[in-house]
Amino acid sequence: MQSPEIGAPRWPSRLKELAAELRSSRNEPARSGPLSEAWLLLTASVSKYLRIHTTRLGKIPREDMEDIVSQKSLEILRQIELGTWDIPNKSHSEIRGFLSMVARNGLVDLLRMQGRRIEPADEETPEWDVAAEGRARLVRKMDPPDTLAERKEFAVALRVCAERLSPRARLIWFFRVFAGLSSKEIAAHPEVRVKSSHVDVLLQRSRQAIRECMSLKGHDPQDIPPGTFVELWKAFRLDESRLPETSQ
Amino acid sequence: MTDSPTNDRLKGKDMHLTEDQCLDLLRNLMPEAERETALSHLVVCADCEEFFRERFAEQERLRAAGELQRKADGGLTFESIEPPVEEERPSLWDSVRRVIGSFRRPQVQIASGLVVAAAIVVLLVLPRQPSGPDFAELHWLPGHSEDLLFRTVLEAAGPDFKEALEAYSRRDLNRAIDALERTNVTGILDAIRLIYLGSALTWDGQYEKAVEILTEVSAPAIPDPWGSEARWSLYVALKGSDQVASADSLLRVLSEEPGEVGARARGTLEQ
Repeated sequence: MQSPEIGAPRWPSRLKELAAELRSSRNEPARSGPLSEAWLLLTASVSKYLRIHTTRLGKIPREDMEDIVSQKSLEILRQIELGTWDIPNKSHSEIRGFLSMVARNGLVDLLRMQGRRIEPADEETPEWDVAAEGRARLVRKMDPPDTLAERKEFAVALRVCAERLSPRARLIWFFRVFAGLSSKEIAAHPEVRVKSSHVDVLLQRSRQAIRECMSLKGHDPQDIPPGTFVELWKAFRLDESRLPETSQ
Repeated sequence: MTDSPTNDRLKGKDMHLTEDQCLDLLRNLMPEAERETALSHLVVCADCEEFFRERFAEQERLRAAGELQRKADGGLTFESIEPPVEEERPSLWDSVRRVIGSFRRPQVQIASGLVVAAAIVVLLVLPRQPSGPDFAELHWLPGHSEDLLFRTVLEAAGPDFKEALEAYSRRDLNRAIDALERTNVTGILDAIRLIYLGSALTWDGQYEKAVEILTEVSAPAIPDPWGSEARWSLYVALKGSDQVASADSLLRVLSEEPGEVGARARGTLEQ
């Protein structure tokens, strides 16, 4: 039986649902979950469109991108709360077009402040369809089955070794190794919330434990092959993504 | 006979996951069957897996950066989250105030003026001398500017690491510890970062934490003098945290080493 095709994006629909919840919620505690989830969807989508527009209009430092994303997402979120952007009655293409436009305006404002030249918008291409999602890549030739089997074996071994860590130590290790978060970022993360120095201690112990465990299985944990991240994300983070966002 | 569903869709076609699909997957918005299709593709497509991982990292970095707060006017703001901090050690001025405050009666204040002046001299002029190891035993790690190769490597590590080591060189412990904790490097640079962090913590009297940090660093992999000085810092931190037996054992091991640290250890054993 053939696996189903992946359908159209779902996040615009979810954003509409959250907007409706925010408008109907009567008190702040009831709003906090939808607010946090809407925030994550908005920042991710605005970030995406901003990245697309920088390929045409000009690159900017990561810190500036993060500032634009935060600022614009806050403005949009407030508009959703107040109903000045009536998102529940917008189509998906209207939602995507609006977010793309906001991202582009934020970028243009910054570039103008820096005195940089701005390319005119392409009138014929829908705003949200700029640069075909911005990723022109070649199809990678499929690796031979034995390579895929070896990678799967490594990924499963690493998952088993990581499962032996305490939940907190595993999370800290995962955030460092696969998300590249600094000790301070990990310490401040809402799912961690410990002192930075304690993060370092737990991280060192976790790395040592993983190294020893993988060595016993005949693997070197320094060389993480493709396919490993998704195996561990599925094991350790998929259930977390199902939980509603809550304020700490 | 057809190939696997994943191969059928990918064969000869640019069927990579779009960013919208990555977002749906990250936020668990896909129906289960579609999610399995997406995950199956990520396992075999390194490009898409890396792209998905970057989106995941972006999301978690944002979650760590701050949280939404409601303003008084009903608007929203995004405020930084400060991680739990260490307990503040009393400042020198706090100590002076306590000494002065203990002499409240005028007659006693006049008579104790010399005592207070002496206390100020002791607290402000002389270096802090917490109980524990003799601070004459502590040694600063070599400055990063003293080695051309090390300087070259650090230039590649980024501004945070440079700032951290410059603070250490200035003996600005608070700033050095803060910067070393937030610097994000990997591999050998991370080991070096931890060595400097362990040293700064030892100088700052945070012996237990210094021991935990330095114990786990694979110092033999670090070239001297940093490797041997890291082991010396560990010895001092063990003494400071009252792990006397471990400190003595390490001192005997260090006394077998060549170089300055070995000579220092042998001199200490002979005292």
